[in-house]
Amino acid sequence: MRQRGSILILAFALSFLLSAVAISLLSLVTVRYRHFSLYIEEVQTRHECLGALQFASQLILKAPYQNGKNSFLSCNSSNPLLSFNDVTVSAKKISSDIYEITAKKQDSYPTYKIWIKERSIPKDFVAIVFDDTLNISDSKYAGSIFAIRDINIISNEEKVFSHPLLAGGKFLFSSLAAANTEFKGGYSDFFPSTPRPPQNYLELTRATIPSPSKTFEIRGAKIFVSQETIFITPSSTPRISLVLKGEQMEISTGNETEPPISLDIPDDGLVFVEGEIEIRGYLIKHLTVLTTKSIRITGDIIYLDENNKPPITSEGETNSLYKAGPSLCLVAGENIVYEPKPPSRSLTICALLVALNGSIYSGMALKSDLLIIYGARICRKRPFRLIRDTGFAHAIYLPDPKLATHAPKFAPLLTIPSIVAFKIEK
Amino acid sequence: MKAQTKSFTLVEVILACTVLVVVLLGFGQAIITAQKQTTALEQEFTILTGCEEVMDRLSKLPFETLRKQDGASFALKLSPESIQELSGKVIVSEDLNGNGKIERDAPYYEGNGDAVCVSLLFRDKLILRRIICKYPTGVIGQ
Repeated sequence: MRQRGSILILAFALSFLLSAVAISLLSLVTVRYRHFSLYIEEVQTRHECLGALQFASQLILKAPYQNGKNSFLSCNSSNPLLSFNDVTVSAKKISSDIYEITAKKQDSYPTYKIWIKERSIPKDFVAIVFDDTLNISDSKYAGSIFAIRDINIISNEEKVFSHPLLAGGKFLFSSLAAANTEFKGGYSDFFPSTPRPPQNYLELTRATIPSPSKTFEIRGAKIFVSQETIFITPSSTPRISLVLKGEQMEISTGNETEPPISLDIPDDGLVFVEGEIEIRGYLIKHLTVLTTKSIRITGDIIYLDENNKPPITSEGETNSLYKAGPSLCLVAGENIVYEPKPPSRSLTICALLVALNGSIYSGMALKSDLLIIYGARICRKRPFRLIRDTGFAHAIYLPDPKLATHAPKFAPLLTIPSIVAFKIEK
Repeated sequence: MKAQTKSFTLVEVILACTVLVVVLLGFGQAIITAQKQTTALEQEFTILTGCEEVMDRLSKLPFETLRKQDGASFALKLSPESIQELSGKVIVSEDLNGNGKIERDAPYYEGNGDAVCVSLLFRDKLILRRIICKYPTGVIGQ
């Protein structure tokens, strides 16, 4: 009996053991399946969040500026910036120039964060060309150069640059010697995304112009003056002339019989012209001049500090005695043209030059000696010469370090949202 | 005196056999279920990684070429022995949140021509979806 009982107990024990093994096996597979399901959801969340973050970055890049602020980033922070299915992207300003952009699905999923440092005109940049190949010839560049497409180095000898050349496309060289030029190809290391010029800047800026407190008329052109804005409407006059004279500016139409109107330059203000202008003079304030058409630079534009010192010498060297003071941003809806009068004179320009839809080029019919630009050129189409063997024999481009931190208030700042950190929080 | 019989009774034998059969059936079922689930897992994993590769390839296409991929099919090989199964489908749409409407304003910003939602379906099941932008970033999502 004892033996039979033992055999039965053994049979039941074996059954329990097999049952336990079966249950363990099933549990193991179920746990693995659940774990894998979570992994799938995490992968899907990662793709959705990263796509949404990329889209948000692109919207930031393309957003127009209003009073020096990126309109996408500066919108109401209590609402999400962007929504994509269950993913929401929100922005939080965590310091004066750093935004934290967070993409989140639900509380149980990881959140994806990037920290974007909003930079205005990139420091030390002297030339940025958006939609076209940039030709670099016999010019001296003391700052970084960036072209969204190719950079073509036209020279019979090796060129030396103090800062990197960044090209989205290829580097082209006109000679074997030029090919020895040191360069840095590709910009993805420097820029998280392709920077774009502000799209609706003209319209947005026009919308900010307040009601005028004074009105003038000059040969059909109406001039509306408010506290920080001077607005000049279209007229029969082909071209308005602005001469900057320190704290004041003279507005004329080129008609010698009609005296110019003299106005105070609004400090850190805006001159908005519906049409073309000519400009020259010296400046001791911060100012943005915006035209819907082209800007022609007919003479030197010089900054003067409180001691009347300019930032550069006539040889194109930086002036160590200069204390940073004024800043000027010239924004043209179309082109910015160098057109010195008389045509053969050299030209010195202290300004940030922005051609929203056109180029920055020499419109002279004669050859001149030297062009010095203290600031930066930003244009959609590549700079060029109007006629072969005209223009400036030499050019010197010097960066204005102040543009990186204290550009004029109405300048169409380019955000280069450099991503300073990337984090996944579980 | 008759010697005492030591063999099992019929009831004992039936009981023992029943318990053993039930346990063995359960064990066998468990093995089969585990094997099925493992195969399904392997397939899902292959589908997911395959779709990630397809998404990666699509994200590297020029934006205008990508837009033309709407409705395109793709194939995945689910195991080393199997042949490629052409059950994948690409959906490219400007309707980023998939609600059937193009909402241009915040927080959707749809229809601006600068971004599309790419959804990858396999056997009619949504596997991955992602916004792909016209001006892709070089840092995030690598």
